[in-house]
Amino acid sequence: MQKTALVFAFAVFMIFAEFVEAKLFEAESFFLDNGMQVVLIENHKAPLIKQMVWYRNGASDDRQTKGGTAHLLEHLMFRGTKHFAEGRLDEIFEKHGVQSNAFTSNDYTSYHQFADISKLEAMMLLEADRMHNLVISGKNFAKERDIVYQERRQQIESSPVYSFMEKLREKLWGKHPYSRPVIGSTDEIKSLEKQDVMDYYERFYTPQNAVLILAGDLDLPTAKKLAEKYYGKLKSRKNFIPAEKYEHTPQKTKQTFIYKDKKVKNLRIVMMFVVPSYNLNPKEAMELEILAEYLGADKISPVYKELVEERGILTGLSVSNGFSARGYDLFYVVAYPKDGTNTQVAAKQLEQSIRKSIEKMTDENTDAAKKRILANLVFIADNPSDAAYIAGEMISGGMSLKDVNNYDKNILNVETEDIKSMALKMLDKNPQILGILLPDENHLSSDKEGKDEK
Amino acid sequence: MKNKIKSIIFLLLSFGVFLAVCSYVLYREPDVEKILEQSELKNKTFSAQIQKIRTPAGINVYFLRDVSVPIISLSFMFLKSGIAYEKEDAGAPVFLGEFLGSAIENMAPEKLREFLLQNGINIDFRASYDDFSGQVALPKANLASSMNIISQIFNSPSFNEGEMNIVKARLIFAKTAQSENEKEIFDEFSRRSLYKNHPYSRDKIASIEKIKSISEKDLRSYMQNYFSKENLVVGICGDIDEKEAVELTDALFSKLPEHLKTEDIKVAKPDFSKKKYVFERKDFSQNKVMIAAAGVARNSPDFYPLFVANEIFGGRGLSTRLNTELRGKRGLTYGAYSWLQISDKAPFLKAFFETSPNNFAKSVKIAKKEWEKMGTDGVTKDEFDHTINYLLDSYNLRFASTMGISSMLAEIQKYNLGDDFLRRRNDYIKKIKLEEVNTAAKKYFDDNFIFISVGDIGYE
Repeated sequence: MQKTALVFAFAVFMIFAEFVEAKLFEAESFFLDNGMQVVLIENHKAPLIKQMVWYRNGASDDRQTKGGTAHLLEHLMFRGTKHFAEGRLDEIFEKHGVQSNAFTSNDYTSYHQFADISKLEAMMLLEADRMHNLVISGKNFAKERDIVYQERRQQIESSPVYSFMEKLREKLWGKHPYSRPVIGSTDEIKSLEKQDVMDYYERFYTPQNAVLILAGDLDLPTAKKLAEKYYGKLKSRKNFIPAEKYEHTPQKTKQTFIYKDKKVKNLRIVMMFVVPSYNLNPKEAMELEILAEYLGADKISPVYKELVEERGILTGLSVSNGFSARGYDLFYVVAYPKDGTNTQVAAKQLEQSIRKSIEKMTDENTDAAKKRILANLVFIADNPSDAAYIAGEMISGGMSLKDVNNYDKNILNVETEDIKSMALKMLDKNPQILGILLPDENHLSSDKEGKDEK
Repeated sequence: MKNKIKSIIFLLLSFGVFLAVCSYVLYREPDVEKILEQSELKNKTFSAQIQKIRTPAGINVYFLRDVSVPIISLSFMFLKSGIAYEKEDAGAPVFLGEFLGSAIENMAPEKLREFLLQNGINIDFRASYDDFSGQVALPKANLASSMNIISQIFNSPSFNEGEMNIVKARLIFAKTAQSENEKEIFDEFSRRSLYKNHPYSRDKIASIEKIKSISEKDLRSYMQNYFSKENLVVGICGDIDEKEAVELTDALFSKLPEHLKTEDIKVAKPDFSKKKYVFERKDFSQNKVMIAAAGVARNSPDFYPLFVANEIFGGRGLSTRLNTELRGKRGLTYGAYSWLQISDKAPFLKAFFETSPNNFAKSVKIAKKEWEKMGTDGVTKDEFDHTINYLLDSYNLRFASTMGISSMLAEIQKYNLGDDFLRRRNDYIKKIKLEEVNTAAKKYFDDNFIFISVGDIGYE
């Protein structure tokens, strides 16, 4: 009896399930006279604040043969300024319980702090100061370069998977700036000089190239007053030229790359498709969001059902959409074949399964994917750190505040037929690469080095 | 002529003084303390009060209501039920952590998954060496309609063969992936070196043979023996009232047996006389180094003083002694850190860093010297004041996320910190004395430590 009641209750729910009222968050924004954009996401759960300053420049703006410049500069930004001697920045932050860090990507560089709201003015003072007053001594430069060299060995070279992904991106993007690793190659890191970093700093670190995100226990009038007080007095650099948008795709359309490494024990298949970001094509980017959810949802995706459950070829797969790059971004499919699988055959089956799934996609599938995406948006608003990160990534990538606030509405507006035609075009026409990671052993004799297909 | 020289010198000196004054005025460090003191944001008060609830089924819950975001999070732990406590060592806790939530009776796995995702229900189960823990987080609006399903995930899992095989394949993949990862290889070597035959030396993920052979019977037997009201702690936070919190808790746990049916495990006794364990791996990109000494339990009187000493040594950020000496001053590592490991049966004080083989000898020498210095000289008054300030000022950061708060509420019960802990925590910090920190530093940063390294140790 109990079981029947439960099944009935579930059936009713499934039939009448509606789109939940979901909102990424309600952000507000204003500009300072020097061109700096400020975004506020109020969250009054606790007296906390996340401050992030995003610069709209990253590793893709490193000069040729000078890869790693943006990232090395990010490290050096913690060393000292004209007003704060070496080590004082960390010392002040740590004394006041401020968690502070930074990161660099292809498109942007971000500095952030998380603290009790009472510390916000100190955070603003220090962050504004290092936007224009950085000091780099020759000695500190050499030490920080050594640290980055250690970072590269620890993060990239100690992992065959990271090394593979680095090479795969390089191969896919070719001469495009996105082909270069954010951290730089070992040779590039070693050859960087202080002047390279200073040139980059003077070119990009200016208020009109920055977005300040404030998420936490703060209201709009106070945010305006304090942003003006600390960042408003910074002069914008004259003759500033924004970073290039790189609105071109790689030249090669279809490539295959097989990488063998003796440290590898598990097989992996990676498909990367070059796709427009929201910045370039909002409609297509929203369609890709739903496509990624449809193809990648664990246990639900038709690809999962066929290749993991029914045929047992894969142990799992994941699908993701880049969405927020300045120019083109990547749509990823990562599959984990079972041990002993012929990866080239599995890759073909994966491609076929994806194609088949797209062709038979229905409105019901689209609605289910939309509901799954919307149901999870409420969690992003919970933690000020998460909200600040999402807003910062979207806005520094080029989205307007209206677009960020309307993310949920834009998801709802996507049509199944548009997704299907876009996705089939992506499979056939977009620049793409199939990467296969293999152990360096002979028993997989059926896998041979593939050739580039133009 | 002399007067001319005097005038030139005078002019030069005056110019120098002028430059120094200008430089001072332009570039003196702003008074951060004064700015914060005068900040309009300085007086925001906040207090979070734990409410202790007992449900009709006899389950104690630490509850913190917060209606700022319409979500709910429930965290729980079954104490003494983790990897090290499983008597049969069948790999059940980790398997169950992966499996729970994938299948229940009367509903196809795919429908269950769709239901969870469409309703924003995030579930997470996992096993550590000591405990089995879990978390359920969902939007408030979906609580009533999903309570039944959430209960079934925990109370009526269906161990159907298809789902079991999928989890087996994933675990085998994860197990194999560990041997691709330098840090995982190091962790396994260090666990075996430190714990020898103690259950803490077990692999995080069981052997491939064990994964393949695990059965429904093993999993049901594990659940029956290790999941009980006696070893359960529950924390709930979010937009939920007391009545709903009681209902949710009992929906999940009221059917559990009252008592735990298993036995405690022995205390691990690492052999600190065997001071060095080295694993030569010339193929490693970075050498990995650990220093491990005896630590303290969470309820030990030495806990807070040693916690402060560790923060200064390597526990926090880039300005710790370890990071200053190895990273900041010399660029020998990407990062070095230390921590108090509060395991049930083997509390440790540990430090860890990675470095390239050519820096290895030099880095080890510096790290050991810093360790010794901490034991002999202790910490300075400035370091002490600075750290106490950090611990007080960063207190509110723990209230950033609903999920984080519910986990914290469960942990507070695990360590018997009391339902007044959140109110009293800063008093505990303020009571710590410099002398106590230095006594703890002397006692624990002594030369009875085990040194473990893996990598190209013999690099010339």
